[in-house]
Amino acid sequence: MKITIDGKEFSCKPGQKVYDVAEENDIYIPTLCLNKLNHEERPAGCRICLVELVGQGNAEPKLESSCSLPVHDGMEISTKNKVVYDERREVLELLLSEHEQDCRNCGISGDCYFADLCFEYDIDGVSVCSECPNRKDGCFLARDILCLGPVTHAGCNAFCTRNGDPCESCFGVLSNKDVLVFGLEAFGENGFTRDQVLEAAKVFSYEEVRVLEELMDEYDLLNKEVSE
Amino acid sequence: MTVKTLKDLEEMAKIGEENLDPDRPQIIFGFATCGIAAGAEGVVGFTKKYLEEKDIDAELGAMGEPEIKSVGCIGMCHAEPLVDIKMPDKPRITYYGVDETKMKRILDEHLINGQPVKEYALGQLNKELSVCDQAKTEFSWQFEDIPALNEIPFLSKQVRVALRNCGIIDPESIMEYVARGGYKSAFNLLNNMTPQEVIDEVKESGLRGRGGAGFPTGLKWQFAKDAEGDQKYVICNADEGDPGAYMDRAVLEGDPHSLIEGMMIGGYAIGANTGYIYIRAEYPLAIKRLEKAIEDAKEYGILGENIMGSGFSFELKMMEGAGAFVCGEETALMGSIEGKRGEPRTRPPFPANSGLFGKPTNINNVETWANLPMIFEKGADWFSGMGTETSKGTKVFSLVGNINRAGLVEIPMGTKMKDIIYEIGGGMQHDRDFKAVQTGGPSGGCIPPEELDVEVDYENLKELGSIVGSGGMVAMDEDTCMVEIARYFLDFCVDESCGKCTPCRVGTRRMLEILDRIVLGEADMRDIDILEHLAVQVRDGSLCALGGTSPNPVLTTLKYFRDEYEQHIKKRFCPASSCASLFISPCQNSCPAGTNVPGQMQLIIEERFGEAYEIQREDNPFPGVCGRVCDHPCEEICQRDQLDRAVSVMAQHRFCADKVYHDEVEYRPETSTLDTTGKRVGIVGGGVAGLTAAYFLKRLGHDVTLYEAKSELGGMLRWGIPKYRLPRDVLDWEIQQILDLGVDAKLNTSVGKDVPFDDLLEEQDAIFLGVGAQNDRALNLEKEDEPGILKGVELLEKINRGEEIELGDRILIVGGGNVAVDMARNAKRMGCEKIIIAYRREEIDMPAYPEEIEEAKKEGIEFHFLLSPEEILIEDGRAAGMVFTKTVMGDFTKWGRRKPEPVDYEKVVFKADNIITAIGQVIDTSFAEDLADKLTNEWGTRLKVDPYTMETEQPNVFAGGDAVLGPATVIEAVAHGKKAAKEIDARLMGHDRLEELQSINEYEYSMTAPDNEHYIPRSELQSIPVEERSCNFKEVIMCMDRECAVKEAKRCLRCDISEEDEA
Repeated sequence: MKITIDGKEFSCKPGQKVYDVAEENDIYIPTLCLNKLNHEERPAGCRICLVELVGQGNAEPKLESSCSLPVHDGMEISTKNKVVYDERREVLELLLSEHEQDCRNCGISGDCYFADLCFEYDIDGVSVCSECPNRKDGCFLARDILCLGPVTHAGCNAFCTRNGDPCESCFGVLSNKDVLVFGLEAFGENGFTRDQVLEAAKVFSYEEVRVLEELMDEYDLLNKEVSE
Repeated sequence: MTVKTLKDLEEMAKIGEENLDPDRPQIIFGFATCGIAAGAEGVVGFTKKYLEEKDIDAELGAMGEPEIKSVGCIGMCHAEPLVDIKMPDKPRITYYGVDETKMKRILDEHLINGQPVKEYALGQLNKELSVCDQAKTEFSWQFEDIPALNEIPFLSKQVRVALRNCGIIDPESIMEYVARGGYKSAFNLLNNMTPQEVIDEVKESGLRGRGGAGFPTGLKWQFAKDAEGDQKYVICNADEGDPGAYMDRAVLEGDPHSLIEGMMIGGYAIGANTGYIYIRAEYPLAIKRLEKAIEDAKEYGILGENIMGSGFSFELKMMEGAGAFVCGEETALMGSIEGKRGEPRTRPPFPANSGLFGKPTNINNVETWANLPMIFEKGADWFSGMGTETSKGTKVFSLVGNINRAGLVEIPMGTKMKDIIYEIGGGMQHDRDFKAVQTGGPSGGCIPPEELDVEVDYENLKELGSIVGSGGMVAMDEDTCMVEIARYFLDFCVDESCGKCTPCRVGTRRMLEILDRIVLGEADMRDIDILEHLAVQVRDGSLCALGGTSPNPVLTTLKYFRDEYEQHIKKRFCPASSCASLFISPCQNSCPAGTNVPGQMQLIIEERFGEAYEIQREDNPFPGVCGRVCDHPCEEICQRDQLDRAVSVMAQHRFCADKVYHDEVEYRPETSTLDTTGKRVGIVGGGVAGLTAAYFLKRLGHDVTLYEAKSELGGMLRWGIPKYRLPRDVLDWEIQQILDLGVDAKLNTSVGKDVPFDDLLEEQDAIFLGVGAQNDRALNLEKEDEPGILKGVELLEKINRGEEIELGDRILIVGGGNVAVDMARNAKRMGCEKIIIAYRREEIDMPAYPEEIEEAKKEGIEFHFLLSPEEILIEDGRAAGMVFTKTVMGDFTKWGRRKPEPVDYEKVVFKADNIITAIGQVIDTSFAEDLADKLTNEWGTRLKVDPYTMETEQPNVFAGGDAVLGPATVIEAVAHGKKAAKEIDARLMGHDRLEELQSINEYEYSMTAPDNEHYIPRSELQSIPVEERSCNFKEVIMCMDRECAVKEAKRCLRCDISEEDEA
């Protein structure tokens, strides 16, 4: 039995699922709910592993969860196109909308598959803290070093922090305000003042700085001078 | 007894027939859940007691004691409780809406004296008990003057297959089911057909699943039959959960045996020996009746081992569902039967291969099963003879909502939606306009008026973005907010989502949050895009059909009613007065000018009439005028109307104005103003819109110059409205109050002639065009300009100027608006003898005010409807009459109105000395001919503005009133003037200052909810007697007196008081 994935033909056995065929052939399909320990159970609930089942004959193309989709001969699958990408991205955004998004205080931070997926699908709302691999040295902020990680859009794979330098926000400020508030709170908790933060924030555009200022006013953050 | 042969069945049928047509009287109650809810139990109790007291045996003598029996639901929910009386050898008479008083009369007259009570009777059933079976009812015996039940409007278009026995037979009697031909199909096919033949027959019939998706039943069975497995199952999905759908319940409660027979046929065809019925626990009566039916079937050997001697064995089990909506999804349902959590799983594998307990399973909905016995009784050809190309047979819909005749309707597929709503359903309640029909429950969508001509079948509804679904059909009128409807159904889906997959669990919740923001007035325009985007992603990404279809209500309302969403967001306005956070009360919201009606009512109660007048003037400079000639949308929406009748708001406006006019108030606050700004605004046209704009702009501190071509101000109020409706002294007084604020009015100054429009553009910072629409629209017929043919608006103006007009004795007026009716009533006052109004639509469609039509009728004016002008008759060089073509009301337009369509062969001729045309008005653009292209719409009939800013394409030139709307009401023109003033001010000053202006004067009044939710009659306005009206122009309607006004104000329910106010 043969199926086509992204234009290439692969042989497979009846009863196999599309996801497994792809995995055997090193085609990457993301998944969150698939239980790696119990491979038999396929809840198909997270919908990240959606692929497009190319319609045969007059049938419309359809999105299906690859983990639960059994193969049949001549089946055609597309794992990389705009429809699939958009739908996966939407699912991630929805999951993120129910998420605390406080990467700095999260134990999985630095080794978070969900955060990785968010970078991969270019979703704003995860700060650099989630990819800061410097955890064994502790957070920069806790060491009195002003790191812009908590307010910075992740995605650079935190190359500098790995080398011991604090984040300077090459990827720009997060646009998700809920997460920004977490970040600003983090500065306050670690004793940084409004002026210090604004000084460091000069790397951002005027518009972005204004957003930070507004948030500090709105939530009354960093306004009090911290006595040494 | 065990049925082994056909003869055994025939014997059972004989007993059943005796039950259905016994030789003693029967009193038959519609005793399904709907009948019980409508009070059938009380009527049964009363009947038993009454018969006992009356010693009925003696009365009836030889006929014997009457039997009291109950049947299921015939589907006429609007007519419940239903009671049938069956006298020996006489037709069965159905009575509707029976209460104890009616029942007493029915028992006395029909049961005891044998004379049916015609007034209460709905129809009669013949000996064959045929209802909606396509056959013309033939009566061997019949009562005159009572229609056959088949022929009443609700039933005449229906064809009943699945509901064939509902409401006719006793659902607990297997004998009666057999007497109606039951189990005969099963007997024949078990003994004479192979399973494959059975499946072929079903395939040929074209039956498709009635649960919603419409998958071909025969094909589904074939899959299950071909699947390998020693054990197979059939399942009946009776987990009916759509809000507003109850057709399955009717079958379960009214005819459970047809379901059993259908499942037996299905079991035989696919080779299953066990069937499950998964039924909602919320249907206790259905469960009880189904249990009894299964018991009976077992007792007679119709279920169990070796059924009816055929060698086929089949048993049925019942499972009660705990009420999760998602368990109506087949894989979740099977999970639930297995004892697992009710969650859908992905398909494939399909149930036909791996279903219940992993075995091949076939699952169908109640209605699908109930259709099957009839297909085998009458043949596949008969079934496929009904319906459309792709959808065969009939479908049951539960027609509910704001409709006159709600109930279950079973119609052939392909019936037009408008026939369902208007002919079967009897149209919308209280003659409201139709707005949308929601089909298919939370998975379906809303169908707008312009699509009412759709032929209902699976494909057509899908094309419109909706679905047939299980058959819910909710008809909604103009008072329904479509955003709220989308929110309601989505809220249901959020609650019922099982939570397994992300798009449905999270996505629908995010969508609901957006809709919540919209109905609270907190959304912005980006939210609509996000909503639409999310809806599509949830639809495409969800695991099962619940998630996949839940965005449908949102998507269809966005498609057909996007404007309503935008109004909620941009204007914070809910056109249906439904989203309570956006207004203080429905009356205030429905008033185009936004008058604070409850505030005025309370001030009247507190006898502070000066403040009551002034609180209205905050929003409208013409309370005295509107108190006389407003079309009062506030009274249409008044919540009191649902209790007894609307509060007489308009009379209260007039009362306050008259009090102030006659200087009978102690205190009247001064009109508030803001400091002068030095900005200049020019206003063209001194009509209602222009004067209102001047009033607000002056109050906002601008220099206002108003140009009026005529010698007096007031526009259509002065030239169009007869003096007997609006005395000129009141009009002059209210205009003078505006001028007193310091508006510079230049009369007899025609812009374009006396003052070039370009000068205005140069001198003024902004311009408002309230030029009106005073040119009469032409009939576009030949000889329109011959003598004797007059133009309505022109004529009205002459009359109101006091010019001498010569009119003949016979007057023919063409049109249905206020100009037509005013002209007719004026002609009456000028001594004309015969006055005819001819209109091309029906009376209910007339744009004229109903009160005016009523008064005109009293004055002896003749109305003729459904007539379209065709030819003008000329004799001796002047008008002599007109030929009309009859019209019929045809298809629906976008606005929910039907288009009149001429019927060529039917002509009507009216002779007349004068013909007056009043079919509408268009604008005169001579004031700015160079700019006409920029200012007007594509036909040059109206000025064109952005509906949200009132600005024309020419920057800083705004417009409003009749010039934009066409002939509009006074209050609409006031609203336009007010809105344009607000926008002009915001443009000149950089921000909106109207609120600031309106908050200067503070009106404090009691905010305690009144205790008046009991019947209080509405104080009716008094008018002067008809004989005093001829040959003069006295005001017809009289003002309320003080006592009356206060009493009327106390009827106000004070919808403006919220729970927080009270706390």
